[in-house]
Amino acid sequence: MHLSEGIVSMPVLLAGGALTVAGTIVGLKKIDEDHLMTTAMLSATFFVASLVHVPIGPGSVHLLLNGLMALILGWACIPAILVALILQAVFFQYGGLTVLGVNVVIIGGGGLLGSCCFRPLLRRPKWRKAAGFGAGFLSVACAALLLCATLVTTHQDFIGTARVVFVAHLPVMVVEGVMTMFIVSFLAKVQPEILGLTHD
Amino acid sequence: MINRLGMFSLVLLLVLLFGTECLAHKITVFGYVDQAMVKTESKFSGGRPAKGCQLTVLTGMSPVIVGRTDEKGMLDFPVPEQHIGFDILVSCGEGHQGKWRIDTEELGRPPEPYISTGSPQKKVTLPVQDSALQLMIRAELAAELGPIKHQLAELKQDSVSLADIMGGLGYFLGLAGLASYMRFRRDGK
Repeated sequence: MHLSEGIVSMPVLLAGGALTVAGTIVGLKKIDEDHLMTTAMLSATFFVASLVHVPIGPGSVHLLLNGLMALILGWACIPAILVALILQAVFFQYGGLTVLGVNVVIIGGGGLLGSCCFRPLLRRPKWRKAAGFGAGFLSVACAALLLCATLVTTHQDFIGTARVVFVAHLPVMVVEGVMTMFIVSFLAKVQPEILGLTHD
Repeated sequence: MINRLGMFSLVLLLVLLFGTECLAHKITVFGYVDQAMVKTESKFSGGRPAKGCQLTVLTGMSPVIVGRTDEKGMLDFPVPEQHIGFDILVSCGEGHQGKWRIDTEELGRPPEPYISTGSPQKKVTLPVQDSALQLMIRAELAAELGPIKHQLAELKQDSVSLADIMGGLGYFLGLAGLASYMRFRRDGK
């Protein structure tokens, strides 16, 4: 899911950078100061989760957990993902510092878009599992779509690649959906306040 | 103080860290010169070959697409005619790509030195032929040094180590601690 340096065109890089700056400012304003350590832990989990990759076809895909982060942290997931991506670029040479903005928009923006429509459903116990699955699934789908859009707006030749990328992420959508579903169910039982819920 | 979700995140993090095979999602490329050929190997760090990826040679002029890597992520191609250092760029779709630099010194001397004869208007060039002994020595050296060059190239690669992961996690704790300190200092607690 990480775009490497030297692929994306300058206008897309600038747009990604501007959106990331705006998202980070909003995220820092909305961050819950009582849960700073939780934010750091989730950011660290994202940092490590991207190392676990699933070989599919000629390439490989990896876990994102962006839906889970967006469900729990809301807008604060943007600075959390930004820090994790900076450290991944520095320590693992994933992505790169120049494409940081674009990668944050793809992963963080995908998480926010995918989770926002399922957040209200978390309040309904009967729909909670479905909401967790949907948020995880749709967050990866949105991130994959944003990645495809980035590739296509960079160069028309990337249309074929974009299709492959989206199809390759279908299994990840399912895996992330299932993982998010279980994690959300667990959190709703042990720490519902984190999800903005009260004890059932 | 770490709350229950923090503990849960910590457990999830540890499971991901130690319970699964940690493989980097990055293409690593390495190449070396073997006589008149450049041998390349591309893989995802962790060892999985990057097959069917487009390999491009960048000599500072227009990039030249050489071809696609095979099932083992390998592709050999002749040393570019310009005989200057170049970059090897391997792209595997999804915006993933890796680069490897071959410097001019690694190319050795040009394979076919030419002697110019005749008038400037009508220049004739004749290649100086290597003796059979020279060719044999070169072939033997290439066979002996090939695996060593391969190992050296592999050693030059960046790979994800546990120390890198732990170092990164330390940064998260440090940043969280710094943010908490600033918050409590601001609140005067």
